[in-house]
Formats: sequence, structure tokens, C-alpha cells
Amino acid sequence: MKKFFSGKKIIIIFATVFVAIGLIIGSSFFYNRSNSVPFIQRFENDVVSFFSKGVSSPAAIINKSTDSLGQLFQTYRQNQKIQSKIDQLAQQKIEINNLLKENQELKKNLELKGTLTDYQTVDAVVIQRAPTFWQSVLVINKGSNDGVKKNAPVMSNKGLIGKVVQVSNISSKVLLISNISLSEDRFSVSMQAENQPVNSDPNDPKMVNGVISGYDVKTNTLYMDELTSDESVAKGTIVQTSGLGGIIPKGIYVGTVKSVKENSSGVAKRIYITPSANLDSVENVLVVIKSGKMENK
Amino acid sequence: MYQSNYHRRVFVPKLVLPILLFLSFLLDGINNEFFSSVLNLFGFQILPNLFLVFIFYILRFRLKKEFNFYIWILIIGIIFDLYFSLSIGIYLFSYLISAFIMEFIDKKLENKIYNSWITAIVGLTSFYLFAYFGILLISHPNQTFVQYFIFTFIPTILFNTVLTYIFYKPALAFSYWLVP
Repeated sequence: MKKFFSGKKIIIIFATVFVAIGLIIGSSFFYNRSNSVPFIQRFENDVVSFFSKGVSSPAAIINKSTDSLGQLFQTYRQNQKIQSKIDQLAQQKIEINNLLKENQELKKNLELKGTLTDYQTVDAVVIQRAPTFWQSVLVINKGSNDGVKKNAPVMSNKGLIGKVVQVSNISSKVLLISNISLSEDRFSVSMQAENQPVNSDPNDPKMVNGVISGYDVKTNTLYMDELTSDESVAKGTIVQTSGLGGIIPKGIYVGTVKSVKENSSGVAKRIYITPSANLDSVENVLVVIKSGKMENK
Repeated sequence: MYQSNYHRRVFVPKLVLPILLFLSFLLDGINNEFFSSVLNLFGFQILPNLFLVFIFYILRFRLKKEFNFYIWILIIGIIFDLYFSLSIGIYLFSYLISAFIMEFIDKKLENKIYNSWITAIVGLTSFYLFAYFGILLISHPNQTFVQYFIFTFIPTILFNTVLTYIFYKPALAFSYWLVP
């Protein structure tokens, strides 16, 4: 034991510890402040993504086959429901076109910018999930070549799942909403206060605004802090992005209110939210990017 | 004939072992994505770590001397960090340190099969402990240490130890083929 911990080895151990701590803290500091990825890392990410797509194909086939088998049993029942809904779709399409036209005219009149209809979406497939407990990072198969940019919100078919944190040419990293701990990464969200008429303007005092500040793994619950209103909130209320801050568009579905933790005076302090999307199983995503029209404004 | 056998004996492991290490790195992320619903049942979070399992086999079957073992761990450790993480060093140093610890223990313990499980468990334990303390330097994990220990650490160690056990015999046979 005496021989193992010789003077030279102790110096090497200390030097390694210092280098490790310095590298971890320094690189984390750099990535938090940098808007783009260094060329070498971009190249490395693209090369690994290329190989990853090839290696993941058999796994995707196995996964799809098992999914398909399970879905086959539900198909007949779903088919009946779908048939009845198809009949309604034609009518709804006409209504949507009219509403879109009306929406554009109203927004023009009100000079309203930055709502969800001003954004486009890019379809992407998740090719890797970081095998870590500390950062729930997904790697998707779309990058800057497809218009993906840093901080773009990412949705599954059920709602918001996270945001883009690093972009390479043919792939991007998505940090899940369950793992956003830095203050600059947090999402601004809003919800309707209890017994108030329907309104989606986040500046309205009857809307409860706040930020998603954490996630409880055990209960699959997001929590919302820094509330801007003392109004009470009902269980089951829909939570959506508020658009405050100007980076994330308004109106992306986040989840529903699970419970509200209040202090002794009854003023809401923390709101617990059940996320709409299943964060443990995400295969296809939509990256929300500003439309060319918005970029030019 | 003698010379061609010599070349096979020298060059094939030098080529095959780094490729397999790289493949195990890719498979860790792919498995975690495609089997995430199975690996995240009942609030437990199981993290496959084929890369560390493969490092264990290399050390256990004395394949380390066949190629630049630590250089390749360093390279793939950096790739791990660049590709999956939002900082550099956590994977890199956790893998290097756990490989070093596994090598140290494996040399000290008697060459028996049940001792190899001790080596594997200590290697996995050291990796996930170093990684946890590494992340404390830059962020607040969304789990307390107790939650992490119960819901991630224990199931992950068990899962990867079972994985090591299942593939032990095939890996041993493969090592004999690789280095006759």
C-alpha cells in the first residue's frame, strides 16, 4: 500500500483531479455561452450520426415490428372510429382555412407577431438517447442543413418535450424539459386562473405565468415556480408556453395541472404539472423553427 | 504460413477491438432510445453500459496488451462526451478511472469466476459514482443522491452485471478466436 501511494503517483492523481475538474467546469461554461458548436465537434457529431443511423436501423426494425404487432390488435377498433371522423374532416378543413385567413387578417390589424402560426415545423427522428442519468439528451437526425437552430422548441405529437441545445450539420441535441436546470434554459409557461373567462394573453393579470423549474422523476411531474399571479388554479387546467422572452412561441401544449402546493395564506407557490408527452418514449419529433417570413421581420 | 499467422495475431485484434469498442458506444445510445420504455419502468431508470461491459471483458480476458487500450478509451471517452453530453470530461474520466480500478482489482484478486463479478461490480459502481460527483460540479441533478441510488444506481448495476454474466461465455470464446 505504501508503495502504491508513492510521491510521484500522488502528484499524478492530484494533477488528474485538477485537470478533470477544470475541463468539466470549463467546457460546461463554454457550451452554456456558445451559440454554435466548434468545427471539430460538428464534424465528429456528423460522422458519429452517420454511423449511428446505420447501426440503429436493425434496432428500429425490431422496435417497429414489436410495435406493429401490438398495434394490429387495436387496428380494427380504431378503424371504426376513424371512419366516422373522416366524414367530419372535410367540413373541418374548410373551417380551418377560413379561420387561418381570418387569423392572418386579425394579426395584421393588431400587429401581433410571434405566435405559433408564424412558425414552421421540421420532422425529425430520434436516433440516440444519451445513456446518462444527469442529462436527458436526445440526438435527432436533423441539423442546421434542415434549418434547425439552437433553442428551438421540440414537440412530440402530444406536446412540448424540450429544446435544441446543440446543432451540427445533420444532427442536433435536444435537452428534455425534464432536465432543464439552468435558469436560461427554463420555459415560460402560462395557464388560465380558476373561474376566469378564456383568454390566452400572457400579459393579462388573470393568467398565471411562471417558469418550469424542475422535474420529479419518481412521479413524472414538472413543477412551475416564479408565479406572477396570486390567482388560484384548478386541477386539470391546460398549461401552455407563454411566449414571454420571445424565443419560444406561445401556445405549445405542455401538460395539465396535477396539484398546487400553497402556503398558509392560500397563495399558490408551486404548481405541479403532468407533462402531456411521455418523455421516456419519444421516437418522432417536430422541431419548431421560425418561418422565413418571421426571420425577415 | 508462420508469418501470415503472426500478422493475423498482431493486426486483427488491433483492428477489431477498437471497432467493437466504438460499436458498443453506439449501441449504448441506440439501446437507450429504442428500448427506453422497457428500461424506464415503474420510475426506475436503467442505463445500459455496454462500453464498460466490453472494457471489463478486455481486462478480464487479458486483451489489453493487444492494442492501445487506454488511448482508445481516451478517444471514445471524448467522443462520448462530445456526442452525448453538454460538457467534456465526465464520461472521459469516469471511464478511464473505472478501467484503471478494474485492472487494479483484477490483478489483485485470485483468478476465479466469482472474483470477476466483484471486478465488474466495482467497475460499474466506480463509474456511476464518479459520474454523479462529476455532474455535481456543473449542474443540479434532478434526483437526490438517495433517489439516484435507489432508482438508477442499483437497477443499472444489476442490469449491467447480469448482461456481463450472460455474454461472459460468448465473449470468452470470441477472445480465444481473436487471440489464438
